[in-house]
Amino acid sequence: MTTARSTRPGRVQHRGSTTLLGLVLPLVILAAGAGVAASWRDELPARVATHWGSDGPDGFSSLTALLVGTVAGCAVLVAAFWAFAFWAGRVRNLRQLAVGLNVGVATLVAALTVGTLAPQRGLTDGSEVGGVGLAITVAVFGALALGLLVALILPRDEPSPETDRPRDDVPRIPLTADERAVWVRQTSSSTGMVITLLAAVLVAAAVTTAGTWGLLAVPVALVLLSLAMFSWVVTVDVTGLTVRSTLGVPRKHLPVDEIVDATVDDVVPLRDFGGYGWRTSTDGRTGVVIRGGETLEVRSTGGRRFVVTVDDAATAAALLNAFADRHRAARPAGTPESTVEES
Amino acid sequence: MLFRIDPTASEPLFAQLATQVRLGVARGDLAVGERLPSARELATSLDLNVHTVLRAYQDLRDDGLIDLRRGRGAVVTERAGADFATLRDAVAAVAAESRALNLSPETTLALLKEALS
Repeated sequence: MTTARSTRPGRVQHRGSTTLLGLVLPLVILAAGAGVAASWRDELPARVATHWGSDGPDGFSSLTALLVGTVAGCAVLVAAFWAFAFWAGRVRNLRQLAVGLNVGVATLVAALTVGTLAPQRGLTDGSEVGGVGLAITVAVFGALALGLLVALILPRDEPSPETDRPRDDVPRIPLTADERAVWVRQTSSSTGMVITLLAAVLVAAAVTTAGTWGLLAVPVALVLLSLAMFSWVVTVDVTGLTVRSTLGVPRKHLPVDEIVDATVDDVVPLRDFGGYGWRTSTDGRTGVVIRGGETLEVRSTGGRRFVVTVDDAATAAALLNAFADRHRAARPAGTPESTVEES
Repeated sequence: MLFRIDPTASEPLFAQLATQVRLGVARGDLAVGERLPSARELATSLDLNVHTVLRAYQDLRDDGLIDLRRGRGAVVTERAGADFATLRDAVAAVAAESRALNLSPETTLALLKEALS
């Protein structure tokens, strides 16, 4: 009994959509923004305002320097994230992250460039321009909306069922053939919530002082984020593993037919994942990391590894392995439907 | 919290489910204020009728182990948080003693049942 086949890194799927939406689209958006700005060349002052403080513009540069610095700089960033998704995007969440970020950042940069240059047309100097709060608000929300939209329409991972039982040395809960079982556990981090809420209060205070009311949506978004990221319900049942935020979304389901095995691990969030929340680590693991310590780690076909920091992970892992055993027993290795699908 | 149901056992399904929660509380797996999964979720995961789960939850509420509130779901009560530590220690002591005496589990259970009747 070997699991060599299933743990080998799988082929990266959907490279076409990753390139079209994660590289071509953001570059087109950036080029369009730069093109519009360049077409205003003759109407714009020689030194345009590029930075605003609490009482008007306080940073200036030439149009060329602005376009090269921001637009070209952003294009480099876009190319880097696209390359990551193209070569390492085995999991849809990872492709969503890279592609959504690329579209969002490109939209933000293009919209900010156009939105802050537009009111400077016909001026003799950039310092004469007024505030640009509205342009910033529109750019932020446009970027968020487009980035999320693109992430949502990315194609799903193709099913790739596992045919071997979990390794012999991983623990199982003994289940009789007819027995039904479910394991449910809430995992939350009050520290994470307190920190995000504190940040929300600070942003709200800053926004209120500056009078840019449109940006009040930022603290509201932070509160929602803290609820969504720092409180999760983990469920193991006969269908596999489901991890969902207390808010309902985001939600992740690992179907039992793709699960190779489940084990218990210990994670150090900053060292292993560079932070807290929905994370991706450099070793290819993705998952929900909201505290250090006991962690459920589930390996799926194609070399995918998913983690969630939750108490009593040993019971969850043992139950998942038992369900995986039962699933493989119902469909003996060598005769699965997957070979039919592939032919 | 792990819930296990055996449809082939003679005990009714709702009673099995209620027993699981009672055990969870006594073992300390379920803390005061902890929320049980919604009846609908539990019914889906265990392939049970939602009324079976609701019947188990109502039994537990009648025993004062959980509160059922609209919108909040089933929450483990203060009463359920009574200190079971002494009982757990005593059970562990009984298990150790009967093992030391090579007493069969059936005999030990029979003794316990007699003591409880």
